[in-house]
Order: sequence, then structure tokens, then C-alpha cells
Amino acid sequence: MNPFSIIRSILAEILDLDVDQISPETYVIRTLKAESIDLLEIGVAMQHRLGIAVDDDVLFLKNVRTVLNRAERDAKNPLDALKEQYPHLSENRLQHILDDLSAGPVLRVEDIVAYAESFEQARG
Amino acid sequence: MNIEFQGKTALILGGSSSIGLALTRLLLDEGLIVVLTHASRDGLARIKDHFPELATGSPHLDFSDVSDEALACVLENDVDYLIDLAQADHETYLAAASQTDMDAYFKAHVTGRLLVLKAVTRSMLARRFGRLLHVSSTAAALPAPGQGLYGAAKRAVEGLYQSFALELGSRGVSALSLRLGLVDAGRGKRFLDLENRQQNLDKIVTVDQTAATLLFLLCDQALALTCTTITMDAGLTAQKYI
Repeated sequence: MNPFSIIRSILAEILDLDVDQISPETYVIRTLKAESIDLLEIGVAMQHRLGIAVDDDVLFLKNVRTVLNRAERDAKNPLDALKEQYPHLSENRLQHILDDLSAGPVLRVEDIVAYAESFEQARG
Repeated sequence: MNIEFQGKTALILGGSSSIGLALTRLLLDEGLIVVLTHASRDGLARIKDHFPELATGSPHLDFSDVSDEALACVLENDVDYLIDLAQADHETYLAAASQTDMDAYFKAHVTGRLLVLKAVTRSMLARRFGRLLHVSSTAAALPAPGQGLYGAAKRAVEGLYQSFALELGSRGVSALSLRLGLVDAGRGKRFLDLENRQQNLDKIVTVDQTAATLLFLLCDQALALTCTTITMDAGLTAQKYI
């Protein structure tokens, strides 16, 4: 089973949803209404089912605004700052996050999948 | 009343202590699997003396050096019950404590312990059941002179356990701290045995009473005792003067 299928089934189970309601573009907090305790459970389930060490802050993009505030303070390019913090996300996706920030929490299912895939790639 | 346990495995931190060993006997009698951690060779030898069959599987765990390998050993079994008896002695007047002592004590007894609790509760979360039982001390509220670091660490850890219960309660994880007064074991016994002790103390909690109470606090019927701290000190701290 590929990471998306596993993550989709984890999300469906924890958030009590049908898998058909979850696509890579689905917003986890904004649309699926995941709360902090749900995110914690999702991280734990990924750790167990995918065998990866999860850093919740990075996985769930918890510090995006902090990273951007720090970049502004240090007169750093915001996209570069995000790239540094979230190397598993593509430049296109990070740019979209910057454009999308005002609409609410930016985390999408594809971000979680990208995190899991970065471990797969590291394993070769 | 028959006490019941929905979990199977108990992990006792500081398992080589008198209370840990007495509780182990009771848990084994209830049919649970027991894992005892030790922090020293002496501790492992005590476990071997009492429960040779448990010594081989006893993980070494020292809060001052919690490595990923140590956590992996602790989590080899799915832990349903965690009983936290681990606490090193360190008596000093706060105004005399060195910065090295302060840093090391809190790093071990608060941060190191929290790392272990984080790993264990994450594993409990995956199974949506877990019971955490922290053996605290009346020193958390009423420290004697010299117990400043000990009492402050105990109070901090009580807060951690309360927050674990608060945050993970909806997922089946409960937690409780039990403040013990003078117990006729460990540091309590050393105090009671002091020849120059001024007080005539008769408010003593026995090891057997403690172990039996801990057993009850772990069982299904006691799971509503969560998110809080209770005291068992034979009335020691209820009076104005000793």
C-alpha cells in the first residue's frame, strides 16, 4: 500500500470519515476539522504503521507563522525560510502555502504524504 | 470485590525499590506481565534476588541519560500500566546547591522522566488505553529543610501527570499521583532509623499498605481517579504540629 492510501485510511479512522472524503488536496484542519488530539493520534499511527520517526511540528506544519515571522525579523526570503524548515515540500507547494495563508490553517493531506515519502526516499 | 484489569502489562520505573518489589508480587498474582526497570547494578541484583525470572528482561533506565535504545527496551512490550517509583535522593539546602546539581537534578527528574512518559503514552495512545500512576511525596507540598529540589521536582512531575491525563483522557489514558508520607522503606526508613531524630513519629505507611493501594489504583474500578493527586500518609500532614 502506498503512503497516500495508508495515510488516508489513518485519517478516515481517526476522524471518523469515509475514505472518499479525503483527497491529497483536502485541508486537514480547515476542512476535516482535525483537532490537536487528532493530530497527535495521526502522528502516532504513522509512527506505528509506517515505521517512521515523526516530528509533529514539522509533519503538521505547526510553526509556519513562527518561521515566517522570524524570516521577516531577519530580513530573509520567506520562501527560503520555509524551504529550510520543510525540505520535504516542493517549492510550488511552499509558494502555494504562502499565497494561501490568510485563508486559515494550510496543512493538506498531500503535505503529510510528502513527509512520509521523504522517509521512503531516504531509505532508498 | 474482585478487582479487574483490562490491560496486561505493567512497567514499574524504579522497580527494584521495596515498594516496586512488593507491588510486583501482587501484580503477578493478578496474572499481569511485569517489567521492572533498574538504574544500577545493585538494583538489578535486588530484582534478581526476588524475581530471578524477571531480571533478564529488566531494562536499564536512568532518567539522567534517556537514549533511544533505552526507550526501545522499555517499549519492547506494549505497556498498559506505568508505575513511577523512580526518584534519586539529593538533599541539600537550596542556597547551598550548585548550578551543576540543579541542572542535573531537574534534567533527570523532570525532563528525562518526561521523555519516558512521552514515549510510553504515545504507545498507549495507539491502543487507546493506559494508566499512569506516579508515586509522589508529601514533600511536594510540605518539604523538610533540604528537600527543596526533591519537593519541587515532585510537584512539577505531579503537574506533568495531571496534564497527561487531561490531554489524553478522551483516548483512554488516565493518570494519578499518590503522595506518600513516611514509608518504612527507602529514604523514609533511613529517616526513621536516624538516631538523632527529634520527632516521635507513629504515622507510618507500610510497604504492604502502599503496594496494595497501588494495586487498587491501577485496577479498572479505580480508573475514575484521574487527573488529580491524592495523599496517603497515615494522617502525617493533617496536623498543625508534629
